[in-house]
Amino acid sequence: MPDAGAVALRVSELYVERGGATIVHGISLSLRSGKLHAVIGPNGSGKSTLAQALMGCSGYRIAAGRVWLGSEDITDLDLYERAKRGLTLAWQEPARIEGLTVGRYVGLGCDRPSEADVCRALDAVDLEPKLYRGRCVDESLSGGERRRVELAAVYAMHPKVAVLDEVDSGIDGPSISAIARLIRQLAKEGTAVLLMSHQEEVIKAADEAFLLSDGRILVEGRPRRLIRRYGDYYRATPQGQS
Amino acid sequence: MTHYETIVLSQAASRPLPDFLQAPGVGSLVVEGSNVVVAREVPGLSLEAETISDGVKLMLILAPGVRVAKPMHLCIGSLAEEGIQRIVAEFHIGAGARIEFIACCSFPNAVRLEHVMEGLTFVRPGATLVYRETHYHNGIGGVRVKTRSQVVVEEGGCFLSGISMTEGRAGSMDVGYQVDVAANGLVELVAKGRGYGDDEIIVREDIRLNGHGARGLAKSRIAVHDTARCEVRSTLSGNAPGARGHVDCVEIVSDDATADAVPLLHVNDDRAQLTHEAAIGSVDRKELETIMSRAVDERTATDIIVRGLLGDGLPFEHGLPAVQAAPDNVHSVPAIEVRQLTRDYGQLRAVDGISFSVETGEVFGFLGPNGAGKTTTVRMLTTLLMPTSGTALLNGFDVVHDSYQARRQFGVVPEDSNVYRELTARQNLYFSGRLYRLSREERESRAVELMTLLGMADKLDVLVDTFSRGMRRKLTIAMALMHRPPILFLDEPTAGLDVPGQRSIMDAIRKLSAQGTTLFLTTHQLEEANQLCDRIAIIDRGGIAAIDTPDGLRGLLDDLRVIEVVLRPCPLGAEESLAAMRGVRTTKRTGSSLQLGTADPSSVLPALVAFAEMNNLDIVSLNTRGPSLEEVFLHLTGEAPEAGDEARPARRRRRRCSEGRIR
Repeated sequence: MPDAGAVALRVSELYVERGGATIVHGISLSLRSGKLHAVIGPNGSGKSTLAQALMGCSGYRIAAGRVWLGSEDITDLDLYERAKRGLTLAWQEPARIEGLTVGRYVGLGCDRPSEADVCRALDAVDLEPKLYRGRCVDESLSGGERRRVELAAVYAMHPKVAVLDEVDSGIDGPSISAIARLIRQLAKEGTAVLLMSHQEEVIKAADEAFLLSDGRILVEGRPRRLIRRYGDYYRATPQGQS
Repeated sequence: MTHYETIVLSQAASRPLPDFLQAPGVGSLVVEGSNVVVAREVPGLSLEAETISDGVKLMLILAPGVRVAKPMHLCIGSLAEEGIQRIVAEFHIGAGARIEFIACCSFPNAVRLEHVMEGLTFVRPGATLVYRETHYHNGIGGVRVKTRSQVVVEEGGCFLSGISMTEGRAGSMDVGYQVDVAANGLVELVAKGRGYGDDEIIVREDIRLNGHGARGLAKSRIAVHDTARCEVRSTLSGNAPGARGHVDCVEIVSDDATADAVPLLHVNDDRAQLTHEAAIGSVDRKELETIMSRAVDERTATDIIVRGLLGDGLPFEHGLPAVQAAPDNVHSVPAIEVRQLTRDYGQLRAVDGISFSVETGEVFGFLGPNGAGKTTTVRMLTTLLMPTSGTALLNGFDVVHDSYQARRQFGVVPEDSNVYRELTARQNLYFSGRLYRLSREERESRAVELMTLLGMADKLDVLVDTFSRGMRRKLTIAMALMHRPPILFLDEPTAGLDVPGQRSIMDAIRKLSAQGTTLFLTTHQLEEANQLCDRIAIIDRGGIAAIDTPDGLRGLLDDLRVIEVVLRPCPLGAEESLAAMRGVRTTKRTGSSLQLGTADPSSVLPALVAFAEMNNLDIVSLNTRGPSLEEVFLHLTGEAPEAGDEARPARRRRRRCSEGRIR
């Protein structure tokens, strides 16, 4: 396990383009092992673009700036190389894959996944392993179930850095508490977590928060302070405007 | 069960058979080359096998009304390296009878071997024949398989047939079916294959839906690598009213392999409905990246996706057709009427005999915890998923038997937007309008009308890729409304949206309701449901826990009143002390406010005031109120959040279905 508090991922002056348009404008931030970092901001402020660019997804071009994982510059590495080094993403709208079971999917990121690992991860997202392990990650799962499976897969992987892109949307109250607990647990086990979310219950659990607007970090600080001081601002900002 | 047939075939001549083929009640037939090694009948089934010059001639007759409980094994193969094996087979399944075959074809030593199968099958009225055939070839690709099956499915008959050739190299596979289906008959053909080297996989299916309500599905999943080639020709003819057919073809190509899919749909009766979807190409990039983000390399990820697609079994989608009543012709029909609707996934009963109805113009909320069966119910109502049993009518049209008409009654707004990002809003709307055959003028005026209604008139010609999530969601709503459907299904319409986004969607819903559209809303947002819905159904563990107006639901907890008090200072442990008071049933803290649930506030209040005085606390505010919708929801579903507790009681969300229903 990396030293708690050490910088696990560092982003410096990052500019990201998608389809020719610059969406992220010079973001710099550091994620620390064992800490929860939240990114908040209105729809269209660039949260998902930042998440997918950090993962190295196709279609997101890093136009300028660097990304370091630990001491290694990973800016020019592809998605798989980044994942191999311990960076992963819980997708906002994860793909549906015919014929691939939930059990297999959750264990994908483990070296030698055991039944117990998979069950523990499913339990942690409030999905009964007995009922879900054998189902497929296809269209038969609801949006909330699919996102919880996604989070379970990230948890089972024990990544160095986890980017969680709105894993909590479309999920009801009691399960949100389970998810907030799991995200805290993920950090407690040493992962540096970057969390994109609209749910204040989840955001409040973070150690640090960034308020994103029009692809720029407007302000950073304690999440409760940000919500208190800027909540009205970002909640009331119409989407797509700065 | 891998390769057991190989063992059977190679050992058959000299050694005793494995036990499972000798189990009581299990029929079996083992053919090696032109030798019939085993032919075991079961009661009601007559089996004749006769050696011909280059193979075997078979005749299987199942007497009317006989339902064979255990699948019968057919092992047909050859240990030869070359030559020809010809199987001429006739199957007669008597009226009302039912049988399932598990067939294995194995050619472990083939170098230049030809296997030809000529089949003639009769599925008599009300009979069911399920046939699953798995091929086991070696890695040389030295087999040339050619099958030609002619099938007649009579009224109400059911023929489910699957062939899978995913182990070893396919060699040359040429699979041909010609099926005639009479009234209310059902046929489902599934072909799965994987080819390497210079393998060739050809699937030709010709399904003729001749009778009223005949249904047919031709599904293929094929992956070809190296220089292999595949070709799927699926022909569907809709020759009678109410006939429904679908071709579903996915072919994955890598290296220099090539693939063709040729779906041919003939609609010879305009009340028949045929559809097709075909996808050919490399593996979906998003699926790949989703798997690769777990540190799986591209090659392995591709293999995982292909293996998932090809599967290791031959699951049929429709299962057995349920016997259903004809639609009612009552005058004032409800917009949605659901009776005893049930759906199983394997042994899991996701929806368990629910019944309810929704009146025209109503905003109906469908609430429940994750996994309660919301999505499954909506998928059945929107004809995407076949119910295991029960009925659902949309404006009187049955979603199973009258799905074409039923489908014209509604629009769907999925939770994940289904818009094309590389098109403009207008192009998306026109596309949606074309699907429902709107004229150009209608498309133009409707697009402007809807975008104005949703406050996005200025975004008509803007690329969707630049839209935020909330704008995409609104566009999805507009697309679902292009054909003016009387019913609109919305799945989590405000999930993942910020507050202004949520508000504008809720406004849109109110406007639509005011215009007379019936709205069916699945949501987690209790406050949203409270504000929008005329009535709410709470679904839990596949069943309906309650249906009522928001006020009516609160009335269910008549004996629950809530005292809200803010104490200053608010000592740690105040909750515990208050919980111990007589008459207090629940306690909860939200920020600085404490909520005490009680049946009788007047007896609790004095004790509360005494507690404050004794501990030198100021009562900043105090009031009593009825239960909130959230409290009702938690009461009904038993899903109360436990305050920071690690050990939660294990919950069982779904019921297992009764034994024997599913194989």
